[in-house]
Amino acid sequence: MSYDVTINRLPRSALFDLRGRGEAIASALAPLGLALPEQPNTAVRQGSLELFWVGPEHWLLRAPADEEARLSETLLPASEDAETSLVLVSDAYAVFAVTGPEADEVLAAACPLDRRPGRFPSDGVSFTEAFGLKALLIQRPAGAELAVESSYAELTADRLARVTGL
Amino acid sequence: MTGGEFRNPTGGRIDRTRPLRFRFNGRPYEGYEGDSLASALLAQGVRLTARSFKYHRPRGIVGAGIEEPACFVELTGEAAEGNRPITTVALREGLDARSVNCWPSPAFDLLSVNQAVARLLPAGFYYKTFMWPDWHLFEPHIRRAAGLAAAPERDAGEGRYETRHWHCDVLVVGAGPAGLMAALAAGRSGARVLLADDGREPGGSLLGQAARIDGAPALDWVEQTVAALDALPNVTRLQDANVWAYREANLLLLTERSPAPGHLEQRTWRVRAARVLLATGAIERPLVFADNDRPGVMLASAARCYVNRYAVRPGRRALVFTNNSSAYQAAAELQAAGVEIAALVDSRPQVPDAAAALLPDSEILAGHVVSRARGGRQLRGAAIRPISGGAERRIDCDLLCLSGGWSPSVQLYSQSRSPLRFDTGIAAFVPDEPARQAVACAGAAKGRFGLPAILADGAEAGRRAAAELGFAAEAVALPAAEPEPALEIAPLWHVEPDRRGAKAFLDLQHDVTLDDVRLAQREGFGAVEHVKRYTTAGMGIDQGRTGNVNVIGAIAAAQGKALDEVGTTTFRSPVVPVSFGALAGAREGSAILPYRHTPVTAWNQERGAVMYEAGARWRRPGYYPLPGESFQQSVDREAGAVREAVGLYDGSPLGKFEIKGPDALRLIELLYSNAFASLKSGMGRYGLMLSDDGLILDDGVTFKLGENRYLMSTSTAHADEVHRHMERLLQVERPDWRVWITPVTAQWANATLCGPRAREVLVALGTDIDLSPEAFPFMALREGRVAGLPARVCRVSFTGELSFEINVRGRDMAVLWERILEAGAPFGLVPVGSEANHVLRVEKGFLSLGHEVDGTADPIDLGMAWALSKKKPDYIGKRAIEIRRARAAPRRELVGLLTEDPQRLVTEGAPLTPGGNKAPSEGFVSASVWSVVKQRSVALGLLMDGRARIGETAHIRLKHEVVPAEITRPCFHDPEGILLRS
Repeated sequence: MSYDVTINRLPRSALFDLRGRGEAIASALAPLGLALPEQPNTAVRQGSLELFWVGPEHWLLRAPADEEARLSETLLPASEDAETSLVLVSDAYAVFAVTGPEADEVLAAACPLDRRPGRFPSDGVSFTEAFGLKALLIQRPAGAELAVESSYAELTADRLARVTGL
Repeated sequence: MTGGEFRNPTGGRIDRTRPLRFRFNGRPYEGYEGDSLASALLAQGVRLTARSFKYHRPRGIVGAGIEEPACFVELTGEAAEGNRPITTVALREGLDARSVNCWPSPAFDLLSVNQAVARLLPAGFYYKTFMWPDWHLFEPHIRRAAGLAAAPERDAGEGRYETRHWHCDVLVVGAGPAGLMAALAAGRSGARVLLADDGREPGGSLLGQAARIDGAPALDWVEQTVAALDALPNVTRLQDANVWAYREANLLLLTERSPAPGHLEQRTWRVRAARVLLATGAIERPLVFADNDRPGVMLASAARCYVNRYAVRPGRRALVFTNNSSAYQAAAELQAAGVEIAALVDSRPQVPDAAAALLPDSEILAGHVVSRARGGRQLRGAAIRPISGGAERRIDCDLLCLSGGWSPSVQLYSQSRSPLRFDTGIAAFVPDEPARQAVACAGAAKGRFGLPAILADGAEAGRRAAAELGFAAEAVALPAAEPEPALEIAPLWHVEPDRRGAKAFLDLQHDVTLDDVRLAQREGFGAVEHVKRYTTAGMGIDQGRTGNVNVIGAIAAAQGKALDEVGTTTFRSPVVPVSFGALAGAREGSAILPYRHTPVTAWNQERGAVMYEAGARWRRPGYYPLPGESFQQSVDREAGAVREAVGLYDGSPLGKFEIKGPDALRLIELLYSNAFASLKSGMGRYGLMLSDDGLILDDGVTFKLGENRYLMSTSTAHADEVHRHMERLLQVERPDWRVWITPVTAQWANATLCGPRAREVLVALGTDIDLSPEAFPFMALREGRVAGLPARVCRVSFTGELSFEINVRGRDMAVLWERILEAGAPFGLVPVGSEANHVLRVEKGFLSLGHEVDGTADPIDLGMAWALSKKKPDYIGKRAIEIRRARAAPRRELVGLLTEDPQRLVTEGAPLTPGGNKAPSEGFVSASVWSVVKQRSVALGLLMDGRARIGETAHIRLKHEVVPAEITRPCFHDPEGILLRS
């Protein structure tokens, strides 16, 4: 018997690491019509774009892979600004979606993060650990997504499969 | 009969319709569903169940639960497990168990010969006796003789263990009367409650008593309370779950033994709780007198449990020896279950009326003690005398129930670093204030006795915990419980044996006697922690639950002190034995150790590369053997290809960081010992990064990508450490600097072309980058397209040859790799592994972390004084180097070593000693390889004052020989660096 859960490794997204002063990052994102999240460790979504506030002066912008070139061009002028650091990191992460009725059981095995309602919002995003590795957890309605450095993709898939009981 | 001749026809929490067959020490038995292994054996009249740890004395079952100090079993078959207290093993069909520490059986144990030489085996005898010629000659045999269960021979199989994290508002430990009330009070407030209990069913001590609550059996109340708890969605209840560690920040560890889903054997929870309530109850203590370990000597509470919970009479005729009133209730329940009470021996001068009234027809001997148990493999009786001395009387019995008082289970409370105090009212250590974490005790764990008080205390503790967290906690209605006589204990720490040499046991599991503690005192091991280590008291699997306080009592008596002056030893985790599987969880099999892959790991594996970790958890190819090739042949072929033609190396694991911001240069200048201010865009510079103590932390090349923007590459092994180093600097020491760091190690994969024909291969691949040495010089970075893929190409060399590091996005690496192999084939290109890379860098004398950079070397030691800027006002490590160099003491310096016999390869790490003599080392061999350019062995080493000794002979001291070697400059190939700049 195994947990009633689905594990999917998601296809690569366009992912940009945005660091710098909030005003400068907000200015860089203005052409995309995207405002910064109001609360730390939360996400804002607009159309196909997702913006995660993941740390002090640190955001991640995610979009479908086919938007990578367009976004790169849009953000390019802002990257000339000394007050911003805009770096393409699409290849640096592997993302696993953990969903299903017993997703919380598997996520509890993976992450020490307190995901209780009221403690972690439904639009919560946070760096945490997955099986001891640094990971980004993105809360989803039926579970969560876990993003780990892509070099750990096979290990994470291995451990998720073991915990799932597959 | 199926249930056993000592089984009562009615009562108990066993299912008589479900008989179970099991084996114990090879013999078949039967019991019932609901039995423990201990109760099933007692029901069958099995009394001799174990042999003791050191003297191999016959032992029987003493407890009824986790406190069992004497009888441990090894389980075989599907659920193989070692060293389980016999009282905690749930009976199941087909169970196969054997006693540990005896051979072939408890009844006939070869090592029982130890009893004959017991006088030669005092505490610490092995430290005194087996020192000559070498303790290690004896150690394996002694360990085997004194051993417990063997590790299971069969692999338990994968996928049977899980670890998980959990968060709750209130963790309640223990589902006895206090714990249930606490959980109910906290749960009804809306707090998220986790209730963890070590029993197979809830109820705690009530399971073993005939207590009544609200006019009905107490277990009816337990059932109703559990139903109420299970109806609360905010309450999670775990049975058969031991909480075994209390860590910092209210992190507790517990292990479930029979979790759902069914494929799991055990699950360990890492629980972070806002409040912790310990309702862990109390453990009854035995009394100490001569031969108090005979099979049939049992805790009174255990005997009470066997008759009530399992409907098993642990004997026909019982003598009860006590120093408090709790044993009277136990005796009354034994009597009601059909056990004849021979007498009650009470060390107190007078027995309280309330206690005596429970056994109106039994003989009560107040002011008396048991001076000695009689019998060998089975208790036959006891010798009784007045406490002040006098004529001895013998009473026949086959069960001797002991109650020396109660010790609150304060292990977890103490592990939270919270204090204890000795309560003279109950003669026990109890929790003291203030607690060092958000923890409180309730019920008997707090030193409360009597069911009404325990229920009330639990309810209030639960309410208070929830209220402190802001939950609207209201008092829950208290059930009405019938009181038992008050404890009214008069401490009795031991009865002095009348006969010299008689053994009065304090710690049954480790065979520690009263004489052992006295010997420790005489030999200067007076403090309680020293007594523990000298005698091993309390160091067994049971952690001295039943024996520790009696040990402290013995020390106090010997020193004429009060018990609180002696104090307790440190309570350590795990409180109960935990299997390795439960600790590891899913970290097993292929996932037992973390590993990292590059985008071409799969390609390497498919091509038969020999893969292993080569730093920072990266699995990398060591070498690519062709059919029939030896290791050395493969390495020589690959290294030779780089020197003669071209090689391809997967350099993806190299650490890479983008550094951006107005203060980026300030950060880099502070991190590296050499200057970067003059670096131009598109160019890179090699740098040494030092620790605060001026030793080498890392080396690497940093490129300037543009104004305020840099790309730093680090060693593979230290990439994470360098990242932490930089972030700490910015977050803690220079938060005012505007500079941001983005790790891009996994974003950019790296295929390195190295060798004299590298440029030709790059041309064949197709690139829009001008590759001429003038346009693309050594240490430059160019961006463009290679093989149609966007790329950053760097001219950096770790081999001493012309090299191009082609960095592409991770998604493009596999394609690039294949295209390079295809384009490079006409030029003799081969993939090279880390072994060949090691040879090439040693030939060139380039340093490597973990070899020359060993945590003690600074740049000057390695001949890199040029990397220490004299112009920069400061860099990390500057002051430490200046102070060190001001001493002008000789240091180990990097040199080359050429063995007299050119064929001789020496072991890396081998010491260098003066003249090869057995003397303190003056250095070591940091690397030793077969050089493909020199066609001989070459080595690097760190040698005391080495640079001044070039031309002299050093001596490599190996296990069976001394190898002389000429001291040379630490470079064996292209010392001018012409090739790498070509």
